[in-house]
Amino acid sequence: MKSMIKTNKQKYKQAPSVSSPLVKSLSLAVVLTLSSQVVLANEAQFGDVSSDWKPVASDKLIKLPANIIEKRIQKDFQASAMATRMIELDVAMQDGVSMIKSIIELMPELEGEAVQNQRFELLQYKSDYLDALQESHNLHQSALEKKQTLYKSVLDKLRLQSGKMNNSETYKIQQAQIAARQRMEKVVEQVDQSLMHLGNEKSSPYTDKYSTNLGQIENLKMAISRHQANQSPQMNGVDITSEEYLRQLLINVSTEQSLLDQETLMLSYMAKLVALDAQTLEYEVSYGDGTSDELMSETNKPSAVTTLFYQE
Amino acid sequence: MTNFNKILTALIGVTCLISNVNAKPNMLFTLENLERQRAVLLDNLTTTKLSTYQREQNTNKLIKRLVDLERMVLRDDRIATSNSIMAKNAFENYDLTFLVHAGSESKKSPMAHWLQALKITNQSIEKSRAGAR
Repeated sequence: MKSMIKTNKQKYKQAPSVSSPLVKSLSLAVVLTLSSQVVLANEAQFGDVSSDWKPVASDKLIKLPANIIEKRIQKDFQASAMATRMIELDVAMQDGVSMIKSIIELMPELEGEAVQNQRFELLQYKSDYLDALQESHNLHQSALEKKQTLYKSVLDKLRLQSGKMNNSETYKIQQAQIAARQRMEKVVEQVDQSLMHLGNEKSSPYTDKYSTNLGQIENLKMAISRHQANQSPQMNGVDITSEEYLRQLLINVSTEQSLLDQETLMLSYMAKLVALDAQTLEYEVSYGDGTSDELMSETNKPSAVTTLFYQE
Repeated sequence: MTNFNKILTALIGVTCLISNVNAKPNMLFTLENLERQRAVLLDNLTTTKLSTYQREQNTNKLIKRLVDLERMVLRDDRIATSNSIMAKNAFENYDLTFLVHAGSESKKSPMAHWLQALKITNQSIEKSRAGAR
């Protein structure tokens, strides 16, 4: 885009005939058409294969912690052709904005036909800027839609996985074992005391070793739970589940989409203004601004020249 | 050896270690041990070959072993992953499987608890008749 802007400028400066009203009118008509169509950007540009991103919710991705899933998706996106194109567009738009600013600053110092040339150049830069902005918006929109689909897919797979686990026979046996274990833990001391009454004062090797190992196991479990790589996703400093984290990511995507919609409205208004400016300039080039005709007609009026025909 | 290779080797080592820890040919090993011991306890209760004193001495020894075995089974996470009917029945019928701990809850000896769980009373035994099934 940057090169395109420069090329346009060079062409404009190198072509002496551009100042002729016919060429100017044609060029303005093109600008006018482009500006009007900028809001109706076609899908071909939007779905450009060279700037695409095709993420997939693989099983490998689902197994990652939720906060890592987000980072992995972001990294994948940044490595895509779509992200590269978005960066290129950002750079081009920055250059375009600086050019527009410099032309606006320069215009008050110019007079006559030079002003008209600058206005024409300004319109071209504005039009190019809006083209780039439109493409950037479409890419943002596409990226957000893909992220949304991806997060939804991950969330669905997580739900399916937990649903399968909860309904499986293994899960039911696990739950039964946990319930039985809890029941047993309540009477452990009582059973130990009753063993002593039966004359078994010395505890078994299993009981001794188990209680020793249990302390060590608790320490290891604590270390695992504190480990950075095992931390659960957090939101506002509070631990949350993977499902909750993904739901929040989906909300964030919706927020970004709403703001993008609002910016699209701004873009359409800017395009409308450029189209109106181009139309005004086209009329001025074709028919003049009207003031000079009036000036002429004032000087040609008989009342203004009567003094030339007699001597007082 | 590059750092990358070193890390890779270490990771493979850890993976092998985890695999070895998880490698267990029979996941129901502890439960089977408990069932064997429980069968011996019940046999000790019903056999007519022992005197009362012998029965009591044997029961005490068996209970001590059962305490450990019951705890091992309840703490063994591999049993649930076996997905077997045996494991399911064992945990669902807590009162009949974990005789020592369940008996302690009801303040009864394991034998008395077992008889109660199966609703075997003095009256029902007296009313019963010997015969072919």
